[in-house]
Amino acid sequence: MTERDQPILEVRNLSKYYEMGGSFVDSLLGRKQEVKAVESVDFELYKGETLGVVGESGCGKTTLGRSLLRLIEPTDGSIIYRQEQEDGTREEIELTDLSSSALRGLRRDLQYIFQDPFASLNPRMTVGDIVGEPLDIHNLASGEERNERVRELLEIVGLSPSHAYRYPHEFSGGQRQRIGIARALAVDPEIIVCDEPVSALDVSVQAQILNLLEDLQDEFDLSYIFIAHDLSVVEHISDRVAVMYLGEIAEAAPSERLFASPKHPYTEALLSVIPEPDPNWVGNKILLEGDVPSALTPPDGCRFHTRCHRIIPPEEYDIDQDAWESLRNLKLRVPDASSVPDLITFGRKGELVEDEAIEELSRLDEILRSAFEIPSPLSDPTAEDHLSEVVELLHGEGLDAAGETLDELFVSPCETVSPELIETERLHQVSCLLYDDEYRSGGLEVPQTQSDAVADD
Amino acid sequence: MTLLEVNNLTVRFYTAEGVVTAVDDLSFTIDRGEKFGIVGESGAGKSVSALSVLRLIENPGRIESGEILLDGENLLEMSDKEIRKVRGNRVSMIFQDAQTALNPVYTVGEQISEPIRHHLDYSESEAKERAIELLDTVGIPDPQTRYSDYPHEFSGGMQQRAVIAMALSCDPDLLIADEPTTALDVMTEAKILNELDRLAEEFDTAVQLITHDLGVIAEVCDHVMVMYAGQPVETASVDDLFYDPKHPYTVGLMASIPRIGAGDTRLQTIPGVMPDLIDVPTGCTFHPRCPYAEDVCTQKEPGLVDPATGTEVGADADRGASCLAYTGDLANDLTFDVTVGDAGQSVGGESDD
Repeated sequence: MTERDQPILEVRNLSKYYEMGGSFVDSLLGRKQEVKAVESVDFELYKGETLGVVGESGCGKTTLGRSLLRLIEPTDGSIIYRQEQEDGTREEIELTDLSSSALRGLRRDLQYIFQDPFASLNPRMTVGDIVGEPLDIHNLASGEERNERVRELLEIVGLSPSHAYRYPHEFSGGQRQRIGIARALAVDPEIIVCDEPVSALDVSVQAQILNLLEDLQDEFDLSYIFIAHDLSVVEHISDRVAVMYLGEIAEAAPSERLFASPKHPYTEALLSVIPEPDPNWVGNKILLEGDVPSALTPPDGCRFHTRCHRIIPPEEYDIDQDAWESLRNLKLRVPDASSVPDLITFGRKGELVEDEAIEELSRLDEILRSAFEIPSPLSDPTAEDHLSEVVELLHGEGLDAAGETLDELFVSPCETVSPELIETERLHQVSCLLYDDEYRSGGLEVPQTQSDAVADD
Repeated sequence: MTLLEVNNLTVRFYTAEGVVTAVDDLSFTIDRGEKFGIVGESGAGKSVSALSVLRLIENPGRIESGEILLDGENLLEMSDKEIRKVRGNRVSMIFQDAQTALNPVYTVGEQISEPIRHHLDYSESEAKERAIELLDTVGIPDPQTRYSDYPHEFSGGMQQRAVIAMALSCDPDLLIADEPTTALDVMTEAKILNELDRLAEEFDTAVQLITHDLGVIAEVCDHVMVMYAGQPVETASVDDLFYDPKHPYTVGLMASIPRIGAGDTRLQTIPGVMPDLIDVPTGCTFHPRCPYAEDVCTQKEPGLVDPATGTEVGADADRGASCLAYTGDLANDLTFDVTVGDAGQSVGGESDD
């Protein structure tokens, strides 16, 4: 492998856990709770490339971006930055080992653009001082040279040099974001982490900033890590995209390929629900069950299994993924419910019922199946027997007994086995057991290529 | 049948910096059961137009002129007591931020049953029963237990569902939703929009949806009004607006959104920003940002006209655009062409950069 092909930033096993402030007694007893905001994340960033990071709120995108530059200290893992030397070779630097003064020196190469253009600029400093501050700190320029450079930077980001004497409050949101970009550019960085840089902006201004970021990348050969929740923005700006779910990377692939043929069921679902700016667009929206689970107690196995619509049925039963998804929903809801009528309201088709309506076993069976959309009977006779047993327990003994039996008899590999990030095609990585040879079998359905999502190319 | 008719509404805010004309001579109508969208960027006057309908404009704001007719009754002439009977009953509202819309010291259930007791004179237990039913209707599982939960025990999506339940509690004729999904993740947004759509049908409620997101408009609305600097610049059915936009601002807005599958094309932008509403440009307020602007645009104010005939249209028009190009005042034609859909997926105006 040549020098050129080596990534400029290589992240291995990066984790960040936040400790939760438990009670005083908890801390005395050494009990602590941890929020696993980012867990074992691996990725590479190449020179001149934009890597998009998408995910729902709370998935760990921002924590990841900040840990990369050690704005917050990562708990574990390695971040290797290959710094360009004067002779053109690249020296490997392990960011997690650096002292804070050495790290400060490296901030010349690694910069950050913040989401909120209102909170990230000091209101008591003039724009000239905000943009000039990095020059002062790193002794890059002083006196007239510094002022000249500030004016030049303001011009590069599309502001007037005369704006240097104004204060942040005199600018609109888009202009402030430009100031933030000028500040990041001041030190002539190699890598910029952009954390939701356009999500606070109106669409017409958003387009201006996205174009500016692209122009600057071409001009200065910058590498971006672009964090955003807006999938169409990420698709537009990124060369490669990583999709995060609950602190882990679910899938990473070149942008076009990810959007045209997602492999992870989570990516598939996310893409299906983007509101398309076309009134006649018909797509099959995949609405996932429930909310994202708490990062305090992430699910075992695959973290997505509690919401996955393509969950793998256990080998011993011959039932399809849809039926299994319904059974999984029933199983997950039993511990949450406080009574049997309550349990029925948890089903996607479930409605409020009176106690009397489910007095008879057969009625309960019928209502429960229709609430959770469970086929009657299940295609596999053993599974059907087991389910009937569960319904009888529910009828006779109540929720706890039924829950235990469900946990015993219906266990998907997705609940127990944590999937590795595997490369299915070159540069296309996915963390899902559907692509693991051990669990993959002929009958399983995987996300299909979305023919209408790729228009050109 | 017309449900809401807003005629020549003007709302001004008297601030220390000057007089802000947030809504300027605005007229529109919403039919019974219609899903009416208002789209525009921040500062366009979308929210103020919605708040005016419920007379929720606070100091230093003032509704200066115009009339707001609900079933022919002018809301602006009602006494405070009368308007309170309208709010939450015949017209209800969903706000962007569900967390601040819910009172943290009352349980969710109490907050939903309050308007039911107040407006419909239900007894406490009847109201509770109805509130539980509503929680179930908006898709909150285990409604009996959830009734006594406090707002902080709900996730963001569930809070918004609870707010929707509250808004629907008195079976309103009109539901005003002000950016109801902007604070939510895309998956939760999809679910809430789905729910809103289904419930509006079920309750036969007209919806006035306010958003900056053209994708949301395309999904939910029948008719759309595009606002710019306090004025409507275009009004059209949702199909016409997306496939055949007539105003340069609408075209610019559509061209500046990144579309998935559009390839590596450069985004088109509208130069500049929305003008300061204290001192709006003369003539057409959009002229400083318009690629087609001519001298006449700086002087002559365009009215809302039918783009096919150039004749002035009223509030209830199916189609209208306020651009001098349609009244024969411009020397040149608007040269944008529009293609939406699988082939190319682009809406294009003249590039400005």
